[in-house]
Amino acid sequence: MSGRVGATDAGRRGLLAGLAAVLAAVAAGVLGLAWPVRGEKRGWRGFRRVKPWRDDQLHEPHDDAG
Amino acid sequence: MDVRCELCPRKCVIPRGASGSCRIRINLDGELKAVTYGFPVSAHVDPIEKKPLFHFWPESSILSIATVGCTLHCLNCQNWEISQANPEDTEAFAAPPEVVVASAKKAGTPSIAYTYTDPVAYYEYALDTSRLAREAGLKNVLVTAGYASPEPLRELYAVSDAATIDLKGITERVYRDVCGGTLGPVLDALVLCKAMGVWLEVSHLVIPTLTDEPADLTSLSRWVARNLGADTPLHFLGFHPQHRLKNLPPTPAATLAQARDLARAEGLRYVYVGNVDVNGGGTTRCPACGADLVVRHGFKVVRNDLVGGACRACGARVPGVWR
Repeated sequence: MSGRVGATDAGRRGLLAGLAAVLAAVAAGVLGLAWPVRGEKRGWRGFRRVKPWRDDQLHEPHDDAG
Repeated sequence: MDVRCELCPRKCVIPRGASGSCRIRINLDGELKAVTYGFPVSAHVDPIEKKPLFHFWPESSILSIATVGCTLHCLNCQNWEISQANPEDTEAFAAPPEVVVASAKKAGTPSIAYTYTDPVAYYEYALDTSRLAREAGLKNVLVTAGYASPEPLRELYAVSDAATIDLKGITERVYRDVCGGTLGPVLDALVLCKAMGVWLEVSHLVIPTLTDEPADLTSLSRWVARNLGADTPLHFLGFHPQHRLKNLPPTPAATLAQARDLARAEGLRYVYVGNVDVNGGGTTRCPACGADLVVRHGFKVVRNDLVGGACRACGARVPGVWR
């Protein structure tokens, strides 16, 4: 049998493009470019609940940044 | 239409209907909207020492607020439930700037802190509240990681009286691997804060295996001394296992004591240790005679021998904004 089995030009280009995408993803991960938090497409539905502010009940203490 | 946000160094390009990395700036029909404006998720009257802020109005209380969202995504975040939350998954209080200012006046706190998550994320809300607060004779305090673009930061500093800026580390590696950010903009934010005359204190969380290398602690201290001055207070804070770093142990007291020694060796005069009990960790010493001037246990001042900002014994002045 001669020639290359199944290796059409289009197939080879697709394979190379796929390989390049995988390598780019790995490189981005290594370089820290693909940090897990990205903006999400989710629109804006408002808060789950909006509570009234009461001066005599200041709420939800947290630690300060750090 | 995509919108490019210029607020922080990420400069997110945000498609219609999506949010930026901070989760709270959303592209609504081509307009960037900070959806948490006027909707804090946390509000509390704290001692000012908790920020930590030791050389600014000691022993005063401070109304402290935050909305959800943050410009960084630190693996160690102690407030991840709010800093890394989507606003629509949270319950918020309705409190436009005038309500916050009126509340501070009513509570008798001389200042308002923009804290817990990061005021850079809820920038417009912090800015407008600060302007109103200043008109009402109140002081404004930022507790921030300083991860912001210089132009908006300049505007916010202009109405701020004091800031505690958290320097997460002194290497790109820490910002990249632990916080998902970059170091350079934070260093610029620190220098700009000092240059604009805002009272500045620096904090640094000492995380075992990540930010506790003696060489790094030395170079961080050296950078602070050279670029911000030896009188800049530096707070080394103990880490407690949180969020995505539950596998690491708490910072040993000995490591924090060593960090303090290294910083003092670099010439810093006011080095503190917080979150972990270390002998004298919260004590301000006189730069001239070495006397213990302000002794703190946790967030409580138990002795204050400063008289008008000077040592009661020898009269040497201690830098800060004293009442």
